[in-house]
This record gives sequence, C-alpha cells and structure tokens, in this order.
Amino acid sequence: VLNQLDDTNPGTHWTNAEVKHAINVAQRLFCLITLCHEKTVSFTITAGQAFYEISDQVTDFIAPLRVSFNGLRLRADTIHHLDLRSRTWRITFGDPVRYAQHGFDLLAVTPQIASGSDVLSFTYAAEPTEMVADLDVPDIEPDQQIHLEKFAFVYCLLKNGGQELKNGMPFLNEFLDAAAKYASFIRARSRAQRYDNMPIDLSTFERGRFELRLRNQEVEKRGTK
Amino acid sequence: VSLNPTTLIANCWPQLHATSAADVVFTDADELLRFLSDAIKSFAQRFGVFVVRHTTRTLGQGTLTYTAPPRHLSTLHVALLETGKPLVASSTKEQEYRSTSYRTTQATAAKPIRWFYEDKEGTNVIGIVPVPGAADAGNHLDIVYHRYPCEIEEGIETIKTWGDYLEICALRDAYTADSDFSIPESAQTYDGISKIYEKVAEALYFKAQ
Repeated sequence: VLNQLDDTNPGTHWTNAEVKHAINVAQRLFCLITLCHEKTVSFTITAGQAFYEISDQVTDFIAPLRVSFNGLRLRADTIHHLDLRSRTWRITFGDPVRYAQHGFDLLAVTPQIASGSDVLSFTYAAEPTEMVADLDVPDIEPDQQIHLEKFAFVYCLLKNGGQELKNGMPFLNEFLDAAAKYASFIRARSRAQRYDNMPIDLSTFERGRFELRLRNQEVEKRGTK
Repeated sequence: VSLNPTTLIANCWPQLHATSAADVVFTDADELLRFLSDAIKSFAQRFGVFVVRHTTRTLGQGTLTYTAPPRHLSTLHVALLETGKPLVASSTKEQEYRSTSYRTTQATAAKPIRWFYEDKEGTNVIGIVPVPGAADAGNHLDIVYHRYPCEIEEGIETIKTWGDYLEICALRDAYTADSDFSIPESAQTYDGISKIYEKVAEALYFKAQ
C-alpha cells in the first residue's frame, strides 16, 4: 500500500499503523459484504432459558448461517412467527427445533431443554481477526487478499482528497467489483448449503456515489454555462 | 466486544492529518464524539440493530400503563414473563371501540390480559388491556424492543466492523463541515462507503421482526 502511495517504508506521510488500520477496515468490510469468514462454535443453552445474548458467548458475530442441535438442524424463524405458532413457546420443554435472531445480539430458541445445559452447533458469519503485527495474515482466502490493498490505498488517500483521490477511485470500484463477485460465489454456495443468511447483492448499489467532481471542475462547468 | 469511543476517535486522527487531539485543527475530540453519537443513534433508529429484552416491569393490580424500558425506540413484542403468553399489539382506538371501560376493567381467569398498546398515553409508555387483576399482580412483562445506545461514552456493545462504520460517518461529517477544512470529495466518498455498510445492515437486521 505504501508503494502505491509513493511513500517510503516506514511511511513518511502515512504511518504503518495508519495503513494497517486501513487494511483491517478493508478486510472487515470485505467479510461484511461477502459473509465469507465462517465459524462454527458450541453455543451453550440452559434449561428453561428461551432468550440469549449472542455476545455473551460469541464476540465476532455478524449473522447466523446454520444452527443445529444433536445433529438436527433448527429452522430460522422470527419471534412474531413463534408467537403465532404457539402461545407458550417461551416455556415449552423439549429439544430445540426453531430459533429466531434479531438485531446484532438477541437469540431465541424453542423449545427449551428440560434440565442442565447442552450445546447448539452454531455456524455464523464472523468478523475477521484484527491484524496487529506486520506478519499477521488476513483471515480471508489468499486469492482474495490482493483486493484489500486496493481499498486500503483509497482509504489512505481520503484525507488528501483532490485529484489524487479522484485518480484512485477506480481502485475502490475494483475492490467493490471483487467483493461483489466473491459475494455471488458465496451466495451460490450458501444456497446449496441452505444457509439461513446470504451475502447482499451489490449489483443494485448505486456506484454513482463514487463519481467525484472536484471543486475547480464545478467552477469550470459553471463558467462554461 | 465493547467499542470504546476513545479508540474510535484515535483511529480518526490520522485521517484528519493529526496524531492526537493536541495537534488537530478545525475540529476536536468533542465534535468527533458528537458525530459518533449522532451516527450510532441514526443507525439504531434506521436499522433496528439493537434489539434487547427487558423483564423487570412488575404488574400492579388495576395499573393500566407502565414505563417503557430505558432507551426505548419501539416495542417489538410483549409477553407475560411467568406464563410466556404473548400479548397482541393494539391501539387506543381499537380498545375504545371494544369497550368504553377498558381502562378500568380488570383481567379475570376467563378474560386474561390480552393486548398491549403504545399510543395516546405519552411517550415511552406501554398500556396493558385488560388491566391486571389480583392474580396478575407481581407478575412481569417480557418486553423485546428496539433500543438506542444513548451514552456513547459508555462503549457500544458490538463488533469492530460497526466501529469502522461509525468512524467513516464521523469522518464524513468532519469533512462535510462548512469551513476551510471541508473536502467535499472525501466527504462524498466516506458517505458512499457508509452506504455499503447500511445496505448490509438493512439486509441482515432490518427484516421482519
């Protein structure tokens, strides 16, 4: 990234910490768009407890992909539909068969196990680990890592603005193209695996937001008129 | 993961040509804190990302209305905690059509508590109909609601990805400011990037609840 910025290493105009942060932002955004970083953990459930705060047990949670109990998959639902299915779902005992997840953090499970505690197999789209050291490796697939520096490059240019930023904007679009392409691949895979959440479709995102018109160009345009 | 606003602001300094609050010009830490606070409140209101549960409102015999939980934006679901029975969303108008004495008629075993409503009682108030009877007194409301994180200084309980979003919003607002410091093209780009985050939030969290 520093080479692209025509800066030295360690940077004169951009510090290493600054560039590292830009790369971390790039990787986190890439994972948010594509939901490509999957993890499966054991999520502990307790007898008689219908509601859980996901952040109590999972600290890098973005969205649930697949939840199962003793090898049987739980169906994704909403609290509204759970209310319609049963007026006592909050206090019904048995093996969990449905779950609802709302907002960043709230998880509801029904029925609830009758005694002790047990675990759900919880597959979710995760946030990548923060890269701190120079030799840390991104969590995303190696073939996708090349795109991170494109976003980081533009992110670093943002503080300068002007023609330099405008010239760098194709890199941002290349990053978004790559993320959109990988998201469609993950979406197809998620469909095949019948995941409960899929990556967004970036094709409907208005890219015109990134077509910059600089102030001097505005003045010239007005002068011409 | 609790996002500390001090860390978020520290991440913004290099993007503002500064290394700390001491050498920043045209803006300061307080202004960035306000931008972050505005961004998180707007985000919470628009996408309903902070959905939490509150279970400590105690029913009193004959008491119609109850204060909504802290930092309440909107109520999603109300149930009775002890029985798990969900209440049906209603309105003052509907209850007035149903019975002119709805404000005083107490629940019985044959006609238990059935509805909740939120309008025409003032802000952040939840009404319960029929009003709790003697058998309901001491029971609790199980409220699932949208919340906003009011005091950003307390830290925001979410992942770093959304911290990035808040930083980008704060930088957008900083560069939009009508001053010599303004860089409209940077503000436009920050705004464009923030819209990507919002598109994901809309898809993942702003669905039927």
